[in-house]
Amino acid sequence: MDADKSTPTTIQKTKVNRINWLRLIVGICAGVFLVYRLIIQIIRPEYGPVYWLGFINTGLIVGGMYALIAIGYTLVYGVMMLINFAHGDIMMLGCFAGYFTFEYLDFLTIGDSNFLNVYPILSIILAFLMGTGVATVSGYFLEKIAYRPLRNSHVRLAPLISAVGASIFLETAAQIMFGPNKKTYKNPEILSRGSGLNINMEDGMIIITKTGIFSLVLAILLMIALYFFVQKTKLGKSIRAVSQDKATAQLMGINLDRVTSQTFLISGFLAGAAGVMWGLHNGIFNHYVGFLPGIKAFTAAVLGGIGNIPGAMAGGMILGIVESVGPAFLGIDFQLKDVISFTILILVLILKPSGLFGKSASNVEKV
Amino acid sequence: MMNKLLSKAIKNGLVAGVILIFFEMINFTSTIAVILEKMFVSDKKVKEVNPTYMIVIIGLILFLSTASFVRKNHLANEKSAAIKVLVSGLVSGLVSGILVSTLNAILGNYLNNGVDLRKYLDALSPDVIRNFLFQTDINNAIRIYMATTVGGAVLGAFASIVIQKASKLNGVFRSLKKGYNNLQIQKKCEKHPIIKKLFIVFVVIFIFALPMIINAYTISVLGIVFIYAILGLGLNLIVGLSGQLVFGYAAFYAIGAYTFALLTAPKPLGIEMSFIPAFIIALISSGIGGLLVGLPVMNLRGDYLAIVTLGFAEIIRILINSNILADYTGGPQGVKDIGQPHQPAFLVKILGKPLEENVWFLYLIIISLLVVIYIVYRLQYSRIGRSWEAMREDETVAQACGVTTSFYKVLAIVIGAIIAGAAGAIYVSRNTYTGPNEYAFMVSVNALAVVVIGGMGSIPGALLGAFIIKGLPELLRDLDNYRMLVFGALLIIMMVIRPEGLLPAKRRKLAVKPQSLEVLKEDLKP
Repeated sequence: MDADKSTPTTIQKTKVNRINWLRLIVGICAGVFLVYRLIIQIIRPEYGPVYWLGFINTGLIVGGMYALIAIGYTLVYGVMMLINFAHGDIMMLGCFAGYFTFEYLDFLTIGDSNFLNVYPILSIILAFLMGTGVATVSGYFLEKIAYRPLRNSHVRLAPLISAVGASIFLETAAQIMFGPNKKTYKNPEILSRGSGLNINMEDGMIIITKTGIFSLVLAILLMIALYFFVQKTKLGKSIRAVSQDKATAQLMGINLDRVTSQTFLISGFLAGAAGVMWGLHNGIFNHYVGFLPGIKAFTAAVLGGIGNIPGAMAGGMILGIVESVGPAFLGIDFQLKDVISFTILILVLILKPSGLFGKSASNVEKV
Repeated sequence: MMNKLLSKAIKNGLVAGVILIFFEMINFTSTIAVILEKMFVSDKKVKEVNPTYMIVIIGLILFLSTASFVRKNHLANEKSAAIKVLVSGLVSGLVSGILVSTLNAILGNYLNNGVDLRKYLDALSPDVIRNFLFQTDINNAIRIYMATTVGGAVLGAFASIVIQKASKLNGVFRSLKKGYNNLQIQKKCEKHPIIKKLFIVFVVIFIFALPMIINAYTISVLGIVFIYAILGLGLNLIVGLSGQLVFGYAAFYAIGAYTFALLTAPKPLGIEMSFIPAFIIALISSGIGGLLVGLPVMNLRGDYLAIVTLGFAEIIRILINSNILADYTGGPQGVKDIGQPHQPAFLVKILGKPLEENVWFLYLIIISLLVVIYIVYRLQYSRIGRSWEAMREDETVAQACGVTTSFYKVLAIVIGAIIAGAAGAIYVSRNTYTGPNEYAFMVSVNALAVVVIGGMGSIPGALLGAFIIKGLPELLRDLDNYRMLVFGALLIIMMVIRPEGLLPAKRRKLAVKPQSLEVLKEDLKP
C-alpha cells in the first residue's frame, strides 16, 4: 500500500489527468446550474423568508441525526475499512427499544396516572438508556458474528456482502417479530410532537418544535462529548491510531480486536440515540426506518471526508439542510428530496472523493 | 480447567437459549414442526402443533450446539472425557432450559391474563403461545422444556464423543475417496471431447423438452428462475469478473424494462412498437444507462462504487415513481398491456397449432438465457475477460501489464447493463404489467445474492444461484415469511464458511490462498 503511495507511476499520472477533465466538465455544469437557480430565486422568489427559515429549521434537526449516524460510519470505516451497511438497522433497533420503553412506562400506573406523565424526564432518560443500550449490544454482536471472522478474508468483497446480509437479517427479523405495520411513538406530554415555540413573522409563522430543539441540542451535546472522547481518552487515541496505521498501532501494543469491538460499541451507542430521537421527533416508524437515514448518513460521512469525525458531523448538518432547502431552491417537487441527496453523493465522489474536509492525498488512495 | 470449561459451557447454553428464544419470537420453531408433521402425517390443516415435533426440534438445536461445542473444545480426547462431557452437556442444557422456560412462563402468564401480545410482538398470537406451552399448563411446559434441553444437550455431547471415537471409520472413507480420485474417472470424462459434447446435447434436449412435461405453475416459476439467471450472469460479469461491486443493478433492469414497456404499451405514450425493435431499443438505452453510470464512477473502487450505484438505482426508482414524470412513465400506477412477441409463422406451421402462451414464453426465455450464456462464456475466455480478471486480482499490476483499466471497467458495466436490460424487457413482456416498486433495492440484492451464492465469476454458479434464490423459496412455500431472514443469514454464513461460492470458477480455485503461501514458504526453506 505505502509503496505505491509514495511512487506514483506514469500510468497513474495520465489516469489522473483524464479524470480531471471529467471532473472539470461535471463541476462547471453543476456550478452553472446552481448559479442560474440562484439568480432565478433572487429575481422571482417563489417562497418568502419564513419558508426558508422553516426549511433550515427542519434541515438542522434532521441533520443532527444524520450526523450522529454518520459518525458511526466514519469511525467504523476508519478502523475496519468497511462500510457498515447494517448501521441503519442498528439505529432501527434503537428506535424500537425506545418505543417499547415508552409503551411500557405508559402501561405502568402510579396512583391514578401513568408513569410516563408523572416522571417524564426520568422516562425520557430511561428510553434513551434502553435505546442506546440495545443498539450498543447489537452493534457489538454484529461485529463479532458478521465481521470479525472475515477480517482476513481473501475475497475482497466478503465483508461488504456480509454487511448486506446482516442488514437484511435485522430488517426481516424486526418485521416478523414486531409486525410490518407502522407504529407511533408515545411521547411524554412535556415533549409532545408538533407543539413548541411559535415565531410570528410578516408572512406567516414558524413552529420550532420541542422535539426538534431537544433532538438538536442532544445531538450537539453527544457530538461534543464524542469529540472530546476521541481526542482525550486512551481509547479514543487508540481508535485514531488504528485508523491511521493498523500495523504500527499493533506494534505499539494496541489490541486490534478490542479497539474494533469498542468502536462498534460507540457507533452503536450513537446510532441508538439517533434512533430514539428519530422516533420522538417524527413519531411514525416501522422496520424500514433505518434504511434511508443509513444511506444518507453514509452520504454525509462521504461528504465530510470518510474517516474524519468532525467532517462527518459537518457533513450530516450540511446534508440535512441541503436536503430540506434543495427542492425549493431548485424548484422541483418535494418528493424528490432523496434524489438530491443521492445526486450530492455522486457529485462529491466525482468532484472531490476525499470529501469537503478530508485530507486529500491519503484518503484518495482509499477510494 | 474445570472452571474455564464451566464458563464456556454456560456461554454455549446462553447462545443456544438466545437462538431458541429468537426462533420462538419469530414463530420459527412451530412452523418447522408443522412442516415436519405434514411430511409424516397427511397434509391436514394443523392449527395445534403436535408437541412431539416441537420437542424434537428444540432438542435437536441443543443436540447440535452441544455436539459442536464438545468437538470444538476437543473434549473427547482429554482425560476423564466422560465426566467433562456430561458436565458441559448438563450445564448447557440447564442454562438454555432456564432461559426458554422463563420466557414461556412470562408469555403463559400474559396468555392466562388475557393480554393479546400481537400489538407489540406480531408473531405471538395466543395459538402460537399455546403451541409453545405444548398445550398444557405453565408448570408442565417448564418441566418439558428443562427435560428436552438437558436431554438434547447431553445426548449431543455423547454423540460427539461417539463420532470422534469412530474416526477410524472416517479413515476408511478417506482412503476410498482417495482411490476414487486416483482412478480419475471424472476428470477423464470431463476432458473427453465426445462425452462433453454428448452431455451438452443431452442438456439442451432436456431443456427443450422441459416445458412440455411440466404444469403451468412450474413453468411460471422456471421463467422467473431463468430471468434471474440472466440477471445473475450479467451481474457476474461486473462483480465476478471485473471485480467492481455494483449494488444498483436493478437500475439497468428498470431502464430496460421501462423502455420496452413504454415503447410497446398503448398508454401513456401510445407508440405500440412491435417486439423486436422495442427490445433492441431497450438494450441500447440500458447500455447508455450503463455508460452514464460507468463514466463518472470509473475511478471509484469497491465500497464507494457500491454506494454510488445504489444511489443511482434509488434515483431511477424515485423518478419512475414520482408524479412529475407520471405523464411519461405512468407514475405509481405503472404501465399496463405491454406488448408480447408473436409466435413465428413457421413454428405454428411445423407444430400444426400455436404453442400455449406461457410455454412459448418459456422457450423465449430459455433461448435468451442460452444466448447470454454463450456471450458471457466467449467474453470470459477472450482477451477482454482475461483483462477483467487481471483487473479484479490486482488493478495496479493489471495496469502495468498494459490493461487500460478505466476502459475495461466501463465496458464491463455497459455489457452488464445491456444484459440486465434484456432481462428486464423479457420480464415485463412476460408479465404485461410493470410498476415502479418492482425495481426496489431487493432486486439488486437478489441479483447480487445469485452471484455470491453461486460463485463469483462462474457461469454454472449463476444458474445454481438463481435456482436457490428464486426456485427454492417456491418449493418451501410454508417458509415464505422467513425467506429474507434465512437469506440474510445465509449471506453471512456463506461469506464466513465459503466466500468463493458453491460452484466457484475454475480460475478462482487455482488462486493461491495466503495460508498455502505460508506452507509453500516453509517447504522452500533450505
